[in-house]
Amino acid sequence: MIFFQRLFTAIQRQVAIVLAIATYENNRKSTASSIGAWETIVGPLQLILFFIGMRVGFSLLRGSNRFAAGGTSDMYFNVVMFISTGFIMVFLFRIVALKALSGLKLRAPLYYPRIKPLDILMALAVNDFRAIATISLGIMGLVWLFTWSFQLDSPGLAFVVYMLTILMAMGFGICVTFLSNLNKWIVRVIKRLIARVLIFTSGIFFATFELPEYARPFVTWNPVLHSVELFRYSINNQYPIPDISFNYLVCCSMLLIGFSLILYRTNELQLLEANDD
Amino acid sequence: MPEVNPPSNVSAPLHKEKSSSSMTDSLLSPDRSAVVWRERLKRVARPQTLISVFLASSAFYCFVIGRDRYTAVSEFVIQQATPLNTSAASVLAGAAAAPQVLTSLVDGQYLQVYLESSDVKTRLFPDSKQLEQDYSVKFPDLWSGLSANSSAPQQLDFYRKQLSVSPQPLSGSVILKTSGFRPEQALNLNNSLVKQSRRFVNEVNQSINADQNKFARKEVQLAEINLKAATRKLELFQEKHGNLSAETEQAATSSFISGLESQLVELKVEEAALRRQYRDPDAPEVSFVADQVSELQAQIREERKRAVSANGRDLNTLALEEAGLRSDVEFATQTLQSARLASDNSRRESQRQLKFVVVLSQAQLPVAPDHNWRWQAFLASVGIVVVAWGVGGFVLNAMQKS
Repeated sequence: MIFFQRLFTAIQRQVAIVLAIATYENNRKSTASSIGAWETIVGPLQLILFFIGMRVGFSLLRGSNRFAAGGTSDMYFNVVMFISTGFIMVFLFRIVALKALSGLKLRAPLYYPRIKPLDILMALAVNDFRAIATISLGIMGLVWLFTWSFQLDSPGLAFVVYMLTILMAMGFGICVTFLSNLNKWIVRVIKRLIARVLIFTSGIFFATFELPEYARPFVTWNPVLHSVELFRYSINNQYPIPDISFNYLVCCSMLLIGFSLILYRTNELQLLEANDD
Repeated sequence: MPEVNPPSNVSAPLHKEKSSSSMTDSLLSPDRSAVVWRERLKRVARPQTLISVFLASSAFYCFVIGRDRYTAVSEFVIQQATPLNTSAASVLAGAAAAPQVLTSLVDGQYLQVYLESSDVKTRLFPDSKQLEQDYSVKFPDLWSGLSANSSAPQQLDFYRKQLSVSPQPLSGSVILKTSGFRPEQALNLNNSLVKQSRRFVNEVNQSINADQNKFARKEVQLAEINLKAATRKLELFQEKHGNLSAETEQAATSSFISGLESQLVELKVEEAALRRQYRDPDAPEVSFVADQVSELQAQIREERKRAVSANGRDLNTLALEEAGLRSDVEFATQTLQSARLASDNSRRESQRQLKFVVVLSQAQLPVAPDHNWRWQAFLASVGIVVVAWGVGGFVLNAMQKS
């Protein structure tokens, strides 16, 4: 009983630390921009709107033939909803992973020794989660308002997938941070890979079922695709998800976060950076 | 320093006195009691407490008092007896040249709308009271079920929640999931819906085929009437002009005139020969032949005039009129042949294109309750709290900072 009490107190303390760092970082960022804390959502929102415009344009060019081979994603989703669900998950992963790559420092002296690099990463993830959740809720709300059809078939699955994606991003970010300590070029390559490969293989613009069967293995290795497709499936249970597996997502998330925590535990000192410069 | 407790026998009356005085105080000063209650409420209404209560009540409902739900799943496909040719499409939609899977998908989508319709609900549950009884609310779970005296839209909404029809775009099959508070309820609903699907597919098929056949038969009848009318017109024409065929008569007249012309040529040759033979052009031999020539020419002119003039037989007009009537008869004959062929084809195609509901996986009696809804609902509660905290915190902070 005492053990659990101590554990609970420790978790509570750690949560308070992470939230305090998150608030500090948020305040710092809001003072650096003319639009305050809204800056966090403006960047991703711009990109989402640009890609929605592209997709709508292509749809208009292609025509509204819903009876192409195997049908199309617009049988199940509004085009805005389809693109934004993809972006929400990919951005969540991308931002959290890239933050870890950019260095875990607060740009302020760490007077308090209890603040560890992992706390900083978690605080940044909390801020990013809040921003992306605000965007996603806003877009979904608007779409539901305009189409007047509220649909969220499996809310529990949506929540779990969201959380697993955050865990996976954190795990991936920490692993890559250790790798990047070896060579600065690795950081550049990984950053480019995350930015390019991730966007084109994560199912932002396409649904897995729209791909021919022989092409699917080229993209289904990517666990972010699984989280995107499962998130869409959780909104509409009729959305087909061939070759997409919840277990694969769970395995990838757990392996990445587990491995990263082991790495972190054994090599924490490597991540400590001088913040007083 | 240890605290010295007074003996209990001494403290009891003191405590009693104290409590009685506080009771009097509270009775005498309602303001003070209001402050106390406000403080208590403030302590309870902290966000942490509210969230804990919300999550605890959600967990309590989902895992303790929530009624068991059973799910029955079946899978079937709307299949044609023989493969489609290129012109054949869905029996319900007009997608031309669609592959078999897509045709089944389109049929499945129509079926989905049909099974969720009020019509099917009324067929399965004609007595709304019976539906209310079958799915009545039961203590302690007062949330799920259908309340007594529910309205028709409420019943339809509840009925729709009990089933899920998912057409699969890759295989063309339809997955039908039904749920119920008892295993038999889920299974019976599933089986009834499969029956309704069969009925729907057969009924629509048969009615479309019957319509097609009726149309084809009507076309044959129309073509027969047209042919009869055209033939009758031709007969009347022939009767009126007292001949069998104007064209034949025209041909006969032409050949007769040709004969006269050839005779004329011979006589002209003979006349020329006689003119060379006799010096006097008015010799009786020459005059005789010359008279014959001029007579023959006059006869040919007369015959020609009689054949084509309006006052005469006017064979040209008659021949044209007759040709028109004959082509009408020919066209009507061909139309009748085509209509008969189309009717026969339609009859055969309608037999060939009959669709069937092929059950791939029959629904089984559920042996254990489905716990998916419990986890979905509980995790949704957690999700609501997390998202509200995240979004609310972000928006409030952003508004404060800007």
